[in-house]
Amino acid sequence: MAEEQVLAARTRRKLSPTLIIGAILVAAVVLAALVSFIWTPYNPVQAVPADRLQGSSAAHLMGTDRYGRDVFSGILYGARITLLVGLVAVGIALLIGTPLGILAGMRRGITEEVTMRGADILLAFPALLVAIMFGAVFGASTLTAMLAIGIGSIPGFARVARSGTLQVMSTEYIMAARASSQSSWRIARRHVMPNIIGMVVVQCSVSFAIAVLAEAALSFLGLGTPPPVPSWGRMLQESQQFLGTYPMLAVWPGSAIAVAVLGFTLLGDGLRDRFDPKLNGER
Amino acid sequence: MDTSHNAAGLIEVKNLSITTKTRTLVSNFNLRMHPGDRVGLIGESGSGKSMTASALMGLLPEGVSAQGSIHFAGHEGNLVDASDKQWQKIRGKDMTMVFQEPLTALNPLMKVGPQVAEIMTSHKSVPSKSAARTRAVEMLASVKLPDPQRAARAYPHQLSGGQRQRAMLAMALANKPGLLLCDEPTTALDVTVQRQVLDLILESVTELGTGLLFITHDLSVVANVCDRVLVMNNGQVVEEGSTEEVFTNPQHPYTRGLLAASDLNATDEQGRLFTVASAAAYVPPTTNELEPQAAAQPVPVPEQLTAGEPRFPLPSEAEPVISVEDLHRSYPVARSTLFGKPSEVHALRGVSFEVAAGQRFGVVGESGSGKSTLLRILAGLDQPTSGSVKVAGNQISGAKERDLIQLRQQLQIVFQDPMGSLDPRMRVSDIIAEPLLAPGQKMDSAKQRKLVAEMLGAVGLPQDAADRFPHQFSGGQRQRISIARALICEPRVLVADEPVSALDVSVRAQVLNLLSDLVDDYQLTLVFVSHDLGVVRHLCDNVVVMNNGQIVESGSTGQIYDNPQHDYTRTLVSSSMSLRSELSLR
Repeated sequence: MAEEQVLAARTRRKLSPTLIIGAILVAAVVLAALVSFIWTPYNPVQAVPADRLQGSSAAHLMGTDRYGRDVFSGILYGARITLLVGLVAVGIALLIGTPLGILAGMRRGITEEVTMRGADILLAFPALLVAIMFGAVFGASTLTAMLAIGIGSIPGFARVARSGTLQVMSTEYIMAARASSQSSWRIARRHVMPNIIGMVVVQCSVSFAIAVLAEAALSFLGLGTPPPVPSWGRMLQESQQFLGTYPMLAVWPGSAIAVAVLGFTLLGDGLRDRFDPKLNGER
Repeated sequence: MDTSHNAAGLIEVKNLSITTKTRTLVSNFNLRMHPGDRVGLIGESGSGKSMTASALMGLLPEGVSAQGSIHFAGHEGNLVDASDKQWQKIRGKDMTMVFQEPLTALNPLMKVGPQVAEIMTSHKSVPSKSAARTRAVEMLASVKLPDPQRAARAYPHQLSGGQRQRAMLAMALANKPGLLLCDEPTTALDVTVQRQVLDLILESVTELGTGLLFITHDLSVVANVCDRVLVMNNGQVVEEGSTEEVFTNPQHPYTRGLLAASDLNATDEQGRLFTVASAAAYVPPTTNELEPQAAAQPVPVPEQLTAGEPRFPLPSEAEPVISVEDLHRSYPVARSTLFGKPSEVHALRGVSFEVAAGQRFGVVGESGSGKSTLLRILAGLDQPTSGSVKVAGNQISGAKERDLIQLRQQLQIVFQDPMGSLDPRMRVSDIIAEPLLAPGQKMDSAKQRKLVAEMLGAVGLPQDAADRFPHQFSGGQRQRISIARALICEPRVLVADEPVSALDVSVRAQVLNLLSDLVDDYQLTLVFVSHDLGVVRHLCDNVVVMNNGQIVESGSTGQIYDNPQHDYTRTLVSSSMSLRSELSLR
């Protein structure tokens, strides 16, 4: 009965436009990725020299590139890579960085010093550098790009989680919890995590956006997804020399990246507000 | 027919209403002041008193607008429609304000002297920059800062709270304004400092002939400072009159309720504080009674307590519930320079006392006295540097987390901040049930629910409160939740850390009554930590007074309040204000 009331309260709440727009944009990217598994207008890697560098037409919705590959098919297929890289990279950073940050914030002392200085050192290596290193050692692939971006994003999560934890730990409700002999694990789970989730969600959406851009950059540099698999970043790179003559070649993958980044950012903001009971209008 | 520009008038506010798009915050506010008038604006949080002050200064926040008319001596036209440019000429020169929080109201990166000087140079009230600097030091001297030259060279954080508020006052008075607005200027200050700052404000405005509009929730402060009072409730002035009139013969039921709830010296026939609900039976102080010194006030110590007059330390017939012996706590302070010596702050130095079962034990002290450190150590949240602490048979000093579980079943805390002490992400039922989840406790959810429901009943909250979140409750209700959480595991000792200092007066009385009832019902030993002597006097039978990490005096409440021995206690008692004593001093 109590549960029903809660659910009723949840559904009564109006969805914020931020959340709706973000969800629509993300859904579009996800849909594109899913569709690419069963159908693309053309084989995205199939070069058809006869059809090269065509503009938009009924046959080729977004035209073709310099090898005659269908851009629309490439965009659909590229969504897979983008989502995969984003999710895996953010997942790595979230699952490693957040617990480390919480630990540092709760334990203080030597634990905090070691964790945070470790994070600082990691931060001193740009994700790109790590990716180049990984690429040199393991060979350029989507996997190494994902790993590199994920590892590079760990310090961000650790810092956000730690600063949030410090804030929470200084409150009186933590004192009250400690005065009731709650174990550290329980305090972390019941008090710290729910109270920093908003910050972490925002960090997720920001990191996701950064990961998408980083993947594009890595592919652009030839360190990400190797050709011929289409990725938005590499499509952008390949369009570079045609910017003056066929600008639409850059516009399509560029817009796709923009949509994905914007979508995840908005979704993150919307989710953060939604998770916050204080922003729940009813009193 | 513009009569508002009466030659003698200082400010005339007519029909002022303050609205947002959807709500009316203040309606039909009228005020007329002459130069040198001292008017008090009383109200609880949300009454619209601060909004009114902002409107008078032309400082309403975005999205809030004012209608009506404000006419201010020496300035043409209705100031409600004044432009920013016009306001800039008035603010800081003819009309100034002192805010509640002196640390945030001063620019932390600017030295105090230049801040005072800037007010004068920007209004061109002094001929040159160097003149402004000299004048700034004079101003700082006039607000009785001990070493004005040095104070002028200090940054705000190098001054104490009281000193900062003096500096604020120096800024406010630098241009000899016609009207000084004070928005709760002493609420953030300690009792002894509050008295000094109030005296200073009073002295300065009298000397300069400045009109004073004093905004506060504290009736005794108004009784001390103001000639005339406006009582605001829900955006409306419900009563207006001379201070004596309003405080001795309140007409409006709200004023009566507020007076009744503020008056900690008056209790109903059951020895409970008056609340807004029971205010009808309240007899306001009469001028008659006030004429001879207020010393003749009956001390409202409940009878069963006066009978025993428990002396300190108690004869040890029974094992004391809390015994503290030679307690020291010092904190290392991080080195400020690489080769500097790490220094230490001594929060507690040699504190010893005992609390017998069933006592209501008050700990009184100002900020920095070490009372909060003491409380944290009692609760096992901090470890003493040396000394021994025993609570309900558990030795705390040197104990491991595991050993403290037992202690925490016996001792629970109610915290000061009603918002910060409840996890905003948790439902009230989970918050209250938290102490039941201590390791080693077996508790099925049905029993837990039953206990939570019981506690909600005990603290007077509706049962449906369990499913809601803390932010859906008012401050007083949140403090009730806090009390419910503290009592659910049936502790023997309840430690309350300033539990009512963040609450409005009318709510304060209710929470104090509740606390008092529960202490009786559950046969608790109460340790009540507070800076407010009035509250401690009402609630506690024994008191220790702390200063600088030491107990300077201890004894029964009556003894301490009526016959303080230590100098510090005397200052504290004479500085603390009660409605009756302030009225009698007028």
